[in-house]
Amino acid sequence: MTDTGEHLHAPPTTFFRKYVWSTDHKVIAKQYLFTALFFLALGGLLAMVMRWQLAYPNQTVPVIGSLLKGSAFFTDQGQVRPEGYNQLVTMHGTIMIFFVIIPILVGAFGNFLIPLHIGARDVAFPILNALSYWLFLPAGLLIFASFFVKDGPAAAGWTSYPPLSAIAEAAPGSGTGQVLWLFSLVLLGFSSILGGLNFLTTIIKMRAPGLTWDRLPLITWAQFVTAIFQTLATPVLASALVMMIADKLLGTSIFLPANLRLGTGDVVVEAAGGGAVLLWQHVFWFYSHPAVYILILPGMGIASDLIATFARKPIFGYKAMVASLASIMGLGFIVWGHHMFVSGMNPYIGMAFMTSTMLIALPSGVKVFNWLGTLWGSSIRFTVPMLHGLSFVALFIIGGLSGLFMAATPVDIFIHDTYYIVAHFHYVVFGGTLFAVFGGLYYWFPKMFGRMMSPALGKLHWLLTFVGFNAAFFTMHILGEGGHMRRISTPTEYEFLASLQPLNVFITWSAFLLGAAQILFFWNFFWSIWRGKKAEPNPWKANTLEWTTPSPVPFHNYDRIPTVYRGPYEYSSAEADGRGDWAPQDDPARGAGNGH
Amino acid sequence: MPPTWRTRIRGSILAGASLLALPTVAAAQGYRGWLPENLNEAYGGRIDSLYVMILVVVAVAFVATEGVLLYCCVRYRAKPGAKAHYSHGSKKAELFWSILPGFVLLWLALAQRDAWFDIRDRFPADSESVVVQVMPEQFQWNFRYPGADGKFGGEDDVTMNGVMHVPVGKPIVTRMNSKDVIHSFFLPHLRVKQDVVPGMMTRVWFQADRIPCWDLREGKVVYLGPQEFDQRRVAVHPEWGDDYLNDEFSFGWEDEIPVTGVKTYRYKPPLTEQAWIHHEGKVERRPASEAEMVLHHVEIACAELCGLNHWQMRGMLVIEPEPLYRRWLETKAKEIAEFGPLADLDRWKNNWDAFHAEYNR
Repeated sequence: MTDTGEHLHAPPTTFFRKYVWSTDHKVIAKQYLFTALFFLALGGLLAMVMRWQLAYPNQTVPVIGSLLKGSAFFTDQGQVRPEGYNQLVTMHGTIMIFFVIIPILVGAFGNFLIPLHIGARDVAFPILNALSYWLFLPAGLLIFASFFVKDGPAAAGWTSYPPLSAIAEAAPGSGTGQVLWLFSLVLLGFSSILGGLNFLTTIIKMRAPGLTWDRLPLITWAQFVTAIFQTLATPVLASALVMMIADKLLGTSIFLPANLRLGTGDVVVEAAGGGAVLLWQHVFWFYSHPAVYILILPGMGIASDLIATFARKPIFGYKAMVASLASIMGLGFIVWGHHMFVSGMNPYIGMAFMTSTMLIALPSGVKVFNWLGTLWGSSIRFTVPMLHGLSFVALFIIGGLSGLFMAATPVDIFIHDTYYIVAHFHYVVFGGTLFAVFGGLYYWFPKMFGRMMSPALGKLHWLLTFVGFNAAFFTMHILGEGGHMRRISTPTEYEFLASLQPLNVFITWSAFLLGAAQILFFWNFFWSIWRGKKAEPNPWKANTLEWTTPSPVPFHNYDRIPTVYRGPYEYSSAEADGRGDWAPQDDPARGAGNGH
Repeated sequence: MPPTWRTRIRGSILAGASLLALPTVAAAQGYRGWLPENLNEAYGGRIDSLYVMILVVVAVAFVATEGVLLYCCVRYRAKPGAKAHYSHGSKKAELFWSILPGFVLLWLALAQRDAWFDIRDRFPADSESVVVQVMPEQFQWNFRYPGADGKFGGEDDVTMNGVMHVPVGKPIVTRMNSKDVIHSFFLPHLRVKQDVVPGMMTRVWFQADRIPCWDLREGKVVYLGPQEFDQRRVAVHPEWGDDYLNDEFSFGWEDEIPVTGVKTYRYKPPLTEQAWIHHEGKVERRPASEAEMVLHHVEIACAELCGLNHWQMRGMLVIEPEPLYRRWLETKAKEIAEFGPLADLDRWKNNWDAFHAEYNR
């Protein structure tokens, strides 16, 4: 709990201190947000080009292809080059995971909301916080720069399995592009670790008086668990990256066995040997599976907040929601091997990983049931944020259930590395997380910018996104069932995939609809920053602390550090009677009680 | 407490689930969906039925949860004067929906066990199987068979690029090692997928129990059991070689790459009026017009991104009756006896035997 005898700094006045080297968590959150939105547009564009190639292999890409022909990923006729396709796949994944989803969830929402939700004036280490962003930005610039180096960006997939990634000659993009990729992620990793430590300290040490652990909003709990993941798992990724850098630049062979000979020309690879190829996969997934939870837990937190607020009902089973976050964290560290069932790993280890993977479905299931329990007997307001919150639940159910197929080792033999996997993780990361992100942005936009986004445009954006998303990604399950390999640029090459090609065309046009719908969002977002309707302090009639301070939030967040009297979701309670159906956390009027 | 809202949740989920369970199970019995034909009767069918089993469980859970979600959205939409029911949940409901799925998940995990170990751990003995070495590289599949001496690493070894031959109905064991990057040996119709990794040997076993044939009248692939194959008149390539597609007595397999859309494949008739036709255990040169079918193949793909032309790493698996398979090996042996070791053998010596003699055993 914070002490109240505090010394406040005056708000910065220069442009540089206010917007560039700012230590204000709200400004840093916006820096993350704008950077990530740029990358969202870029990553989405890459996906559109991929989809064109998959539906119409080797035909000139409309617009982008003719603009960029002979450069980047395109031939002189504006078709996608085969290595260009591999690079598109790699960069789409890398950008969406590391430069869109994680920075928006943690960098933007975490930064903006944690201090507000716990009634603090800022995070525990504001300078460290600024440093996190200023490590993240160069990481993004390095990845972006890799588009322009000789042979283009990395092309070994976002998982960058060696030897493909480790040997410069193994693929166009495995030279300078891959080195930039590695350095970029090292910077990003440091940013992530600093952010995680900062958030942990902030949540543990700086909660307002009365804000006990069982009165924290679930989004804050989710950020707390995510921060533990970041702090404990990211160093392992960093070590993997540093080892690969050593293999590439210092002549070590940590991931390279001896006597590699490339291709039909038997080009000798100069490597001392003695390394193990699977070691990378173990170390990489030891981070990257928890990273999957970094990608979804804050989304779950946002969804919980949206659902309780717009269902006007307390979260069903708050403690179980927290417990399931914690058990996802515990189990999340011992399931990484399920990415490696066909890697050549010992089948007995595979069996163990299958069991832990099946079990991790349980806490996710409990969360779904509890969201449904929250909705049962509620009074639902279908606002734009709530539409996204409900979509999160609907789509996360599909993403969660489809995960069971790949958890089952024998079944995974067939669907591993097919579009089944692509469908699954897009249901989790797009259907789940990105819908939560959109919902969260519509919801907290008034707090961030002092204005409202247009609900009419918002609903249209939601509808088109929901339709386009499901049309594109549900169909991918069918491709996967047909055995369609992921990461092949030209499916029409294969006889056994021929009957699936009309689906590829359908998916592509659905993806174009999905992509086009995002223009509505971007337009609504940027137009509303300047032209949106002015927002009142609490437009949604919500309970958590951020709604007790003006919109946009003033520099010091709160005039006085609030005292908390109850849990975050006390809607429609007896305490709320007389004022409407909500009871702000800091309102002492009707006495204390955490309602759990 | 309003009347039994808790039991209502429970009731609806259970009712929804059980209402759906029966038709789903019934529909699932014959489910083929978009799965490629399964030719591996040793375990392919088990993979498929485990898939269907999970599909049923998932379908029930899907309809139940999405159903409740939809129901709530309609039933509990905000109405003037209506107020949400204030509640923090129910321990009983939570216990119910933690324990029941917990058991289902554990049961699902255990149900995979036998199939998994049969596929990945219990290999048929080498003596009862055909052992093939697989050495993929960017961007081609290479195969090696022991020569007449039955041992790998001799001058009489038979090597192939891109085409793998296996006899129908016999266990096949592969020993695999990549000489460059990770590839993944994927036989969609055999339910086989295994990464092939440099620096270590991976193995996989399977059995091909039906023979893919191209039905010339229907213009599509059919899969024949050995007996059925015997009864039909099937054009075959009795002297398979790397260039068998150009054999003048063979039906040539050709593909057309259209400017747009899907590549189409078809057989063109042999250059001569005669073809080698297999019927009732005999292969004879007969008028090509007698052929009902052409011995076809299934595809081999690489499922792991392996570089520039990963998408082109396409191979063929030829499944044939054992006599034809033997005849193919004998033809190769004759070729070796006459002209010396196959050209590719040097590459196997330099890349496999030199570093991984232990994989030859």
